[in-house]
Amino acid sequence: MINNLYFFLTISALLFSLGITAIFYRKNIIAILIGVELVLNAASLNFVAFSRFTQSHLHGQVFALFIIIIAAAEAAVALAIVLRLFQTKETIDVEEANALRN
Amino acid sequence: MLETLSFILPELSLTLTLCTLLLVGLKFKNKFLLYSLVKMGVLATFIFLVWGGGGYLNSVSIFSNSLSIDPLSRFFKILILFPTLFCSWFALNSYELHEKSHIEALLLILGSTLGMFFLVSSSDLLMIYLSLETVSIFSYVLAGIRKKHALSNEASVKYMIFGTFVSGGMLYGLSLLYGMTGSLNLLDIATQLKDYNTHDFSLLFISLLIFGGFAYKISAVPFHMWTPDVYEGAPTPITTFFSTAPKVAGFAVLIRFFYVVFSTQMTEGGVTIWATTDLHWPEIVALLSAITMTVGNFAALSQTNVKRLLAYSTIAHSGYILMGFVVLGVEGLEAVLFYTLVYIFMKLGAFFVTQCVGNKFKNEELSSFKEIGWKSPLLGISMTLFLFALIGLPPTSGFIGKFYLFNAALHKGLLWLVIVAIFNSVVSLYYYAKILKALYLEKSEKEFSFTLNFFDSYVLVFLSVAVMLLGIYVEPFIHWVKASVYFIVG
Amino acid sequence: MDMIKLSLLIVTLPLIAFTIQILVGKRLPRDGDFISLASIFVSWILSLKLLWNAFSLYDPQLKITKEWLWFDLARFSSDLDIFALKLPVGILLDNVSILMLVVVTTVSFLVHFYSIGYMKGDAHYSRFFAYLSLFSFSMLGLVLTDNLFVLYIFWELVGVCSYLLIGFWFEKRSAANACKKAFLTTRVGDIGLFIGIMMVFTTLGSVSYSSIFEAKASGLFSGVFGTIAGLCIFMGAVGKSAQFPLHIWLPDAMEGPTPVSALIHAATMVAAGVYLVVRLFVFFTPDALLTIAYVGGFTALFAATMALTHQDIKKVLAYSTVSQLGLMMLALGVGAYTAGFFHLVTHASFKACLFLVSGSVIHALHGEQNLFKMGGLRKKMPLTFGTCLIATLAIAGVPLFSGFVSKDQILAGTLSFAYNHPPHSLLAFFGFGASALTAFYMFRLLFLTFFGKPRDEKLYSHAHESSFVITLPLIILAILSLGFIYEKQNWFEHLIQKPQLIAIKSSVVVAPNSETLPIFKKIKEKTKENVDPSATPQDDREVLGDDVKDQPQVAYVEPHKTENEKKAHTQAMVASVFFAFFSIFLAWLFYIQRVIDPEKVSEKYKSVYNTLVNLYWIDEAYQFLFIGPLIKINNFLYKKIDSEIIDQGFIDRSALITVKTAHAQGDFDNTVIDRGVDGTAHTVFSGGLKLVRIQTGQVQDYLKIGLGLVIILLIAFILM
Repeated sequence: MINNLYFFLTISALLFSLGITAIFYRKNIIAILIGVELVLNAASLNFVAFSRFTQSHLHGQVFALFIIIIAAAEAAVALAIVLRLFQTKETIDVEEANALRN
Repeated sequence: MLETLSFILPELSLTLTLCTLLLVGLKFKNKFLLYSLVKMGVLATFIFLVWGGGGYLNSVSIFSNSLSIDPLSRFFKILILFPTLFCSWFALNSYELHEKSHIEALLLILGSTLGMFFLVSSSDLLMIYLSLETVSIFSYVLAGIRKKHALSNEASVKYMIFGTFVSGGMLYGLSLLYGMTGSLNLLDIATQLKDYNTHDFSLLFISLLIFGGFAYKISAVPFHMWTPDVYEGAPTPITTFFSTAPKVAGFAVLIRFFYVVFSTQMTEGGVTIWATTDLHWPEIVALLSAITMTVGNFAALSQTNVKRLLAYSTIAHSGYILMGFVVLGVEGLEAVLFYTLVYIFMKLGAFFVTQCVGNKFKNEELSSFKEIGWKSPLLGISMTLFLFALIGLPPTSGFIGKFYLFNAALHKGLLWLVIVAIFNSVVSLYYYAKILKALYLEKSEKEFSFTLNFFDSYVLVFLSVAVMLLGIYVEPFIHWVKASVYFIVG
Repeated sequence: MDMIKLSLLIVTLPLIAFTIQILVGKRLPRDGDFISLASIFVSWILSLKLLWNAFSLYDPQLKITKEWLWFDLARFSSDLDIFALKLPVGILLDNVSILMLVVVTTVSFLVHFYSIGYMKGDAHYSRFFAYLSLFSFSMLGLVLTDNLFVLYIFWELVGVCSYLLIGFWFEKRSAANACKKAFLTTRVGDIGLFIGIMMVFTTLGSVSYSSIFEAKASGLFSGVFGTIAGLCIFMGAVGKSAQFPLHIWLPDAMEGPTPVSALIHAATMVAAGVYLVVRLFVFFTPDALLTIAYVGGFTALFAATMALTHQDIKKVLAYSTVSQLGLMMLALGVGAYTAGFFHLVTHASFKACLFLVSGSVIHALHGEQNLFKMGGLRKKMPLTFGTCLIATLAIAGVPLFSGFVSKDQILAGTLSFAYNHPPHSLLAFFGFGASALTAFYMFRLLFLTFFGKPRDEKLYSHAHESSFVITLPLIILAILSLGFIYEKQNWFEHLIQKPQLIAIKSSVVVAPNSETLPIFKKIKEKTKENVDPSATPQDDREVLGDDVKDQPQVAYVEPHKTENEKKAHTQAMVASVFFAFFSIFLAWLFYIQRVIDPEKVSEKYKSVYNTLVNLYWIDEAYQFLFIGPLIKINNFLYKKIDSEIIDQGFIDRSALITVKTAHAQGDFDNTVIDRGVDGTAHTVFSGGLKLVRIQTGQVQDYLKIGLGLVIILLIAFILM
């Protein structure tokens, strides 16, 4: 049962949904970033699973590696930006960032 | 190996410029020195683009077919160089950027340009994702380059959250596409999809997810909503950059992705048609295009901040350009290419005028524009020209561009879309006229005089001439556009 | 230099002047007025040179064209099937456009000159000249172009200039409103013009005059479609030439400085509509022409009656302009092509003269425009009086003056039309009625201003003759209003001949008439050798290309006078002279001899008088019929849609507007137009506001909306 593409796809879909939920409903920006990581990992999992079960080459696995790198870079930049927000607003609640609107 | 490298000489020269700038910037702060470095780099890149790698019309696939160096990508690369060049200059002269940030701004702009260079020639899912992320990550930092400024930080945070979400979704779509076709290469995917008995739903879902990623780059509905906030919060030169270069790059990759993946070279009566017609894809894009322009124009009506107003106008223009994209035949592509060419100059111009006014009054509110037309006639006239072009009035280039787009859509029988677009142009007249009215017809409460320095006047004259020239002496440019499209159309 | 280059220079000079003026005008000595003046002067000289050339050729079929390709979207395409789309721009020089060039540059130059004196010391002196130059540029471009598309561009540009110049003193509220009203009213007509051009374009794929005429000759644009296309184009002319029912903007346009009124709202811009009809004369179907005739004729009479009672000197002239433009349209409509264009030319000089006279008088009286506060100025301002007398005699149609020559032809044309088509005799009545009334109200103006006792001693005592800068243009224009200039050997009728559109094989070319005025005979010989072979009339065939040789060509055929026309001509002359003198006599009785007291008459026919004073309540009718309901609909939508979303403040305001609308019965103009515009804007605006409301500033909301839309799209297209 474990050794089945659909199992991985289901897991990844679940991860994706969880990630999206976190992005939509968490107010803490760090938590939102974690949600983003979940989404990225869902995609990674997809790539790896597809590569393992349907294809004979390793393109998908390479892609997954790149995603990890990109995710790291993104996280670094994101955290720096969040830090800046904290220094000007003294909060990392995403709802507080609403001066720009209409 | 060396031969392969000769094809990415433009990218290499940009990288070299970036490194040099990084080193020189450690010691020297003189803005003219820094700018001349950028200028030299851009010039070298331009030369390599036109004459390097076997000439302009040569096309080749390199790095295991993940990069396609061809006239189409060269066209967009040349286009992207203009915002890079101008926005670097704008950034060095903006009141919003501290002197210490100058070098950072230049480096980030160049880095982002490098990402876009790869983006416009990528023909591989991995390359698309990597270069898209490169552009995005540089952009997040650029938006927040005013470190102590609350709005700038907020813009950066919003941009980042929005961007990561959308690119995450897109990535998920890409992974499913990979699973469906078993390949990362666009051409392979296309051949696979042709034989594939697709379930409508899954393919539509995937293409919508992927389209979302691009839509966010070109600020089209439904992922346009970050645009006004980020544009308002970011410093004006950065906003200028955002509204020109990544837009163009986004359209380039959109063309390449969807043209290669979803359209075969099948011709029926001289018209290239979409291979997977049961997807209703043209209808979706047409609908999105109509919604995008309407949203952009209507929301712009009530704006009082010119930067924000121009941000909405950017959305509207994305809608117009998408019109040509609906018609994914020769005419549509030509129209899109030509409009992006025109669009860059008018947008650069309009934002630059805004920046000049902003530098003087330290804000970009509409009320600051009062009487500028009389105090600085050059600024007034050139702004008038840019606005005319944005509205699409003849004989400016905007007119030809819109005409081209409308014609392409009409040719496809999309009369309703053209009517919507014309209606939108009329609505847009209203808010552009608001700026014109402020420039010429309203009295300012304060007494002031306005002088432009030599370089700014020079830039303004250059941009105005470009906007006019593209409207009057069109033929060679159309020729260029056609030559660039020819490759992908076959 | 060949004629094409000359004409290009004529157009570009004012544009260059405008650019210099607007950029650095204020920093130049004398605010740079000499630049505008010099540019228009050179243009004037050059266009006189063109006229000289035209005279020396003395060829009714003179036609020189030159085309440049603006853009061609199909040229490089690999795909031959693509919708062939190209837009050429070109210049068309023939007798009509050359004469029109001369008229525009002459009046424009004189007005430039006059403005130096009139606008002296104005805060925005250089801006005024910049606008004048821009206007000259656009008007000249409009005259010279050879296709409808470019014409439309210049048409709008002229409209913008008019807007800017009417609202030149935009600090004055009435001026600001008048310019808005003018712009919006003409816009109604322009929509028609645009639709007309689109109809032509979609049928032909081209908008150049020559291709339109070719298509017309080959039978396209006949029947109902042709009539509708023609009437749509005519709508543009109705707006610009202030014909009924869009005439309401012209009197208000008098808020602009007087030189502007003379240049734009009397002599040139308002003539653009007539010029358009002249240019496309053969394009109009008989039905369309008949409509034009009725609109023109009605406007002529109708505006003339309104001019009877006005007390403002400029407004009287404004209505007189409307009336005269109506006469021109009437002439064109009944097929008196030459007469219509002739009247345009003569009218330009005497009407410009009259406006400049009124400016001179107003200047002398420190801004007083009320006729009933003037009087007796004859002695104080002899030059102004003399020129005014000549111009008035001209407009009244007294023999020996230019107005007589052209108006007589118009009346003869209408009369012979009435003989040929008895059911349309009403047209002749319109013509005669309008010209009789013209003589009356113009002499009323003359008598009230210059004769009798001064009614306001204080004003009178300060009055003085204007300076040389102001009077010189008056004198020149007065001289141009003399009849003999136009009567010499009937050169006008020879040069401007009615184009007859018939389909013939290209081999048949009507031989050009070689008759020449004696003084030009020698020059003709000379120029014939010098003229560039590509510039001779036969050559317009070459422009078309060899492959179209077999297609039907447009040719001009000399019209021959029928018995009816001769009869009509004699009768018209007698009748018009009689009416003119009778009206003058009547005016003399009314306002000099006081045999009949105007006040008693107005008392006796009070209802008629009131109708006239209130300008037939047209403005009020518009408010009642269009603007009021529009506002109500707007308010209705506004309330209905927005009550849930927009807060209380907005609703209060719209309710207020509704209440106001219900009670508002005052003058149409200002406030109502304002409100009409605001109302429309509000509807659009509230849409915008709602869209903006989605933009909450919460980035998570944005994401939710984005994803939501994607899902909606997904579902919608799955279900499709």
